[in-house]
Amino acid sequence: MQRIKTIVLEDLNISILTGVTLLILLLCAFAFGNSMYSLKNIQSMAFQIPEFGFLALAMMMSNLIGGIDLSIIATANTVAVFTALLLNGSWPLGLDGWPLVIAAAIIGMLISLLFGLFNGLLIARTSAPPIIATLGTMTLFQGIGMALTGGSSVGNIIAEFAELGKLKLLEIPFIFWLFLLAAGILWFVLTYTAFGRSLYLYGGNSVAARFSAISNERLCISVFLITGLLAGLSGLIILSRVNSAKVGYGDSYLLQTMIVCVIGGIHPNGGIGKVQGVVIAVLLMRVMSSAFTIMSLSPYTKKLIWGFMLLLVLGLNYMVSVFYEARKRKRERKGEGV
Amino acid sequence: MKRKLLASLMCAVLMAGLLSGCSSNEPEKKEEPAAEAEESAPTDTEEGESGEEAKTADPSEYNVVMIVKQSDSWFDDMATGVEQLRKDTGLNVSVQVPETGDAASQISIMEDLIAQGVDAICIVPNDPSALIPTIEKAREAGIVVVTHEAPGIAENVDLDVEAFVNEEFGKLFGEKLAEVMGGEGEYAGFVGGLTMDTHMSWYQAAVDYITENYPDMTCVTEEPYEDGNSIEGAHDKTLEILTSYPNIKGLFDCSAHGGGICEALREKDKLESVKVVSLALPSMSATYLKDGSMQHGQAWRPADAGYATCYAAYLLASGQGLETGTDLKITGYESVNVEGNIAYGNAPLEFTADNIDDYNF
Repeated sequence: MQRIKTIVLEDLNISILTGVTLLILLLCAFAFGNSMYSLKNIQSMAFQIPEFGFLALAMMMSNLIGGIDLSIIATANTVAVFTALLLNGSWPLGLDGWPLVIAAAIIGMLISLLFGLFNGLLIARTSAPPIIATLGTMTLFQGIGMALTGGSSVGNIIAEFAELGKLKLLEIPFIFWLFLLAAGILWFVLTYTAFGRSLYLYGGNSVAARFSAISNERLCISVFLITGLLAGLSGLIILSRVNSAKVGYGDSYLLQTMIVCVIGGIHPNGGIGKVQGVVIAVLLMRVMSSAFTIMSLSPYTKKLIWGFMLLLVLGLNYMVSVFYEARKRKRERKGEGV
Repeated sequence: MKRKLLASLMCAVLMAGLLSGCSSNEPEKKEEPAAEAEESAPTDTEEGESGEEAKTADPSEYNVVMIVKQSDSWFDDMATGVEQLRKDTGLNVSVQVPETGDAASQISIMEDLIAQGVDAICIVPNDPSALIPTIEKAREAGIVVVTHEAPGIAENVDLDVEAFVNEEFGKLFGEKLAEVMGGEGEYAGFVGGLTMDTHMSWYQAAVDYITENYPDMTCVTEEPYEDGNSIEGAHDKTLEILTSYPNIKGLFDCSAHGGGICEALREKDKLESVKVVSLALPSMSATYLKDGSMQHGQAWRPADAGYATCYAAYLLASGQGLETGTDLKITGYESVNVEGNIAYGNAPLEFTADNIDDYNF
């Protein structure tokens, strides 16, 4: 009992989130049975999660240092546009087949790192508030994509790349493995490395971090590099799934990534939150979206339920933390007495 | 220590109670549609088994879902048409409305529907080419896919239903704009978004038509303006245009938000000098047409298009097929003209101040 209690209490946000998720999974099983938990539907969900999941992870990284990155969707789409132009031969690389796929993917990632670096430099060097800086770069990146495409979609990419979007390993989509891998790496880096520690410290209190001999500038740039890379990977996944790239795809994801981060227990002011939380929140969001489709809900009802979910999780977190703060204080007072 | 443990246990129980209490709103909400889903589920599986042997023509045996772009008065009207079809024929048809007008949400809904195993999916794509892989996936799963307003990807779907030939409809914009402008002066055009294929082809057809026939008219920009499918967008962009091109004499809007243009013109007192032609929805544009700020409106009836599209999907899913002359049971589509994979109706609507009150969508 004590053991369970410690596990549950160790990270209340995650425990509450897991509880709510399990509850909803159970409700879905009860309400829809096979249409929700058939292999087909689960696979279909697994195909849909990664493109959004990577964006959510990107948003999480920027949130962890108390920032926000509004340019993730623009980065994803513009990187997808660049890669598509390489893959359909508009910009010939002199390669074909798999070598071309690999080369284009690497160039795509380099471009996303470049975008991330630009964001990072802008924010670190000029101390611009991330929300303003990335609002600007969002428009800039979008503009680059628009200038390249004129707004139409870039298609006709070689078939091998689209195969990646359909590939399944052990009945699980390859892109979902990628998502799990990325989440795993981030989890390891954030939990067990000095970089992770200093990142939390910087997010929690950047002044204290500076006095602890952490180079805020370098840290900020690295975080936005990671954010850019994650967003770019999402762009590559979108490209492989949709077989074409276009500016403006997935614009609605931006707000959803923020919701997912908050539900996942990432503190928007930085310094608090875990990868697991975001991953669970992404899964939760996908299951609920699927349920909405089965029920053919109107968009207004969907929004109502999203809002309700957000308030539910936030409210629970708040109430529980207030309760434990009070208890801790009581215990401390008792300790002093002894 | 024990008491503390007890207290925290109590808390946990309370929390659990609270949790289930709070979320019990949801199961109640879910109850009704869930029942519907369960009803339709068995017919699905029966379909799968018996479908190969002999397809029944009974509409109630088929599960057709229409995915629209977003929720606005246009697609709400389309939904009423689909609902009418359900009442008329007993076809098991429903409408899915994405939260935002974005290809990603349409793809996500479509993927879910494929996993559900419906018989046919009708879709009005936001971004036709982005949907191709998902459409292929659906067709591989044996689902009939019928699009509306997406002639560009007709070879990838089972059928595309159009209210008319797009070039003709676009030409109509040009024709009417030239008419109200007296055949001369500067003009500019709007589309909902540069990424919207139908809007773009109307725009192009209109501009081409004018360039060909009215050498005294000049289009001030290479690319159309985007109103973002919103009245505010059209309004703000019009103000920009009035500042940059004070000599502008005419504006046309390929999305149904020309009202925003009229509002901006009224603010700047330019109603007399600048003429407006727009895609129009009576509910959104009647006032502007009647007070003379919009000279001409044109559209097709979304309810009829939705009706025809879903009915065509049923015909294909049940193996009855579709050819030139097939009656889709609704005005304007009594005898469709099938070319390749596209079924053209003949259903353009022209609005003027005099006839706008005859329509109530």
